Amino acid sequence: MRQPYFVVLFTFMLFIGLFFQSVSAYGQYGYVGVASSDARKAIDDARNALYIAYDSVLDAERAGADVTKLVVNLNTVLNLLDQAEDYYAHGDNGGALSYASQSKSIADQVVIEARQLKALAIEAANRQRIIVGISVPVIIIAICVGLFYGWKLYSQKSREKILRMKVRAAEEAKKEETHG
Amino acid sequence: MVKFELTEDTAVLIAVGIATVLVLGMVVTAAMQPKPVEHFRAIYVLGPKHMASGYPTKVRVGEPIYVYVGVYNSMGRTELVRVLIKVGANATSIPSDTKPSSAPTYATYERFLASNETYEFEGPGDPVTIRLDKAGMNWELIFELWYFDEITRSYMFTGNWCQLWLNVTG
Repeated sequence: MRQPYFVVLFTFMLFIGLFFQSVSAYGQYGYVGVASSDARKAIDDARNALYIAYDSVLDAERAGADVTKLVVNLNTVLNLLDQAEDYYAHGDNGGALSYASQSKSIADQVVIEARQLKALAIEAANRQRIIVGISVPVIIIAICVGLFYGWKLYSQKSREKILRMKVRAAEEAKKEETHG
Repeated sequence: MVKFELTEDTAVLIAVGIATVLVLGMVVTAAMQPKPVEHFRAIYVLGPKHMASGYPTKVRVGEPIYVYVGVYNSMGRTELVRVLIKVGANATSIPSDTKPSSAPTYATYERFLASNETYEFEGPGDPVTIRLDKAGMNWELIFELWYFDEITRSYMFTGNWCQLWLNVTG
């Protein structure tokens, strides 16, 4: 008499187990039963985020920042977005939403990093301008002072040379007079 | 108080000083200018042996065609580029420098390229694989290079393209 209860209980437990197994397998990214429109919206949002990230990378690059790492991240975003489109095309809205969300998250991170790099690049450029702005006048003044004293020294030496020549000429004339 | 006297010496000195300032100013300005870069984007297609030869000319339906499709960015900034592979027939849809081909798109590849970067789809060492599912003579494989214009937020045709002619047998 108790055997049917066991069979029912066993079948029930098996059903529950299989259900959760399939749910966890299907929803490995935590997106189960996603509507097609939600997946489409997530992909469009992610693509929009990608373009915003690209804009901010261009901004940082214009400011003189090294954006090599950000370009790598942008390509990661692009690959994830491709995956999302693939999943969406195959009707896997959960997978599409998952990849789109990952893509958007990295794109948002790129925007933050690009802004930081831009700020650093502007700071470095300003520092360079200050250094150039100070060093150029200092170099010019140093050259002018050098030229001034160099010229003065040269003139003084020339005058002394001429004076010595005159003294020597007078002495030679004196010598000639005494010997003559 | 020292009285300034414009002698020949001071005149020469002032002239040399002004010349030095001018030369130094020009040198600093020239050094701070960005280097001129020739701006262009390029696309190229190589054969299965990664050389500009041995391109497939005759294939069977469904037979894989391996080609290396590369892009180069010399725009002096990061670029988002797209390569469209189109399949046309009998020279009916050859693109021009301003107008892309009207042939249907077989595959699309996108990539962010850093300034001065060259990239080959589908990655280093991996050629692009194309399979044609219809027999015919004089099929054209067209490779078009597009770029993303961040102002209009759309892809624009660069006017750069390559093509391969194929006979596909059944």
